[in-house]
Amino acid sequence: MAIPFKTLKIIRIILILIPFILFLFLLNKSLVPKGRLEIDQKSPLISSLEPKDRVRDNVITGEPVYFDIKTAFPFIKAKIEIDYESNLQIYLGGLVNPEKWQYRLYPLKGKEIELNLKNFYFQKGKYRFMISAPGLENYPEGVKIKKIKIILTKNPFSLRNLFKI
Amino acid sequence: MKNIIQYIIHDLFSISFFTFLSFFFLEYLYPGLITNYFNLNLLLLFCLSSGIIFMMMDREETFKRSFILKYYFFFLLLSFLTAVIVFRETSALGWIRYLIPNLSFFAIIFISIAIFKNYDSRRQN
Repeated sequence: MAIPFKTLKIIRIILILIPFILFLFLLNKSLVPKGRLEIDQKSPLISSLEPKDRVRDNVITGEPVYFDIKTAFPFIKAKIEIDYESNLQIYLGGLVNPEKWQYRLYPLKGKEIELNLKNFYFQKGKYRFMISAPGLENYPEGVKIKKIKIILTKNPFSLRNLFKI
Repeated sequence: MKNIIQYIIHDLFSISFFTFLSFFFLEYLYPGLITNYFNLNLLLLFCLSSGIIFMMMDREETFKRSFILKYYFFFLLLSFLTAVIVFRETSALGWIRYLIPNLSFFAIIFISIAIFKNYDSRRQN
């Protein structure tokens, strides 16, 4: 049976278009053209709290604990909302110098904080954050984290900042 | 009909393989660009499956010969990608950084062509 060349060509074009569309979809997701990305604990972009032996059912029993935010490209600001149950003062901050294991921490006033991500270390598509609760060893009930919501912002994507990504 | 299926499976294999390589390279350059939203292992699994099915099929000789140019193009592409990766990974080596990627580029091309020619001549005999 002779090969219907036209049909084969159409099939080939469709097969080539599928990964191309997939790539555009992934690029759009990663570039965040509007410059605003909202993520919560269910998102695959945020890791669970670590190390595991300091966290039990979203209750921090030992401090400090860490979590990562995974983004392919850096952002400028992060507004982090942490809904928690505890009378302790919570500090939140990010990794500044990985070689010295240095973190810059800020007290959490209310339940949200806005951080300038330019101060933090970004490599291999990750920002690393730390949650610290000094005096936690005297509170056996720990700090219950109900919700973590993060809003990352950067300049909206345009042809002018194409090479500044 | 068999020929059509052969062509489609071959296309599936080559497109998924090229997509996997491109995505893998992009992921290397910008970690998270692909894997934050897509599981590359699924693509690799699909690529391997279509490749194995394609290898198991009885192919016509003319069909086989048409791939030789594609092989050369593929060797060129692989060598280039390797050179870029080597260039990125040897930043601490100073001026040798500019020498090693070029050497690796030509080494991979020559070795690939030599292996392929050896394989091709054995196949023809």
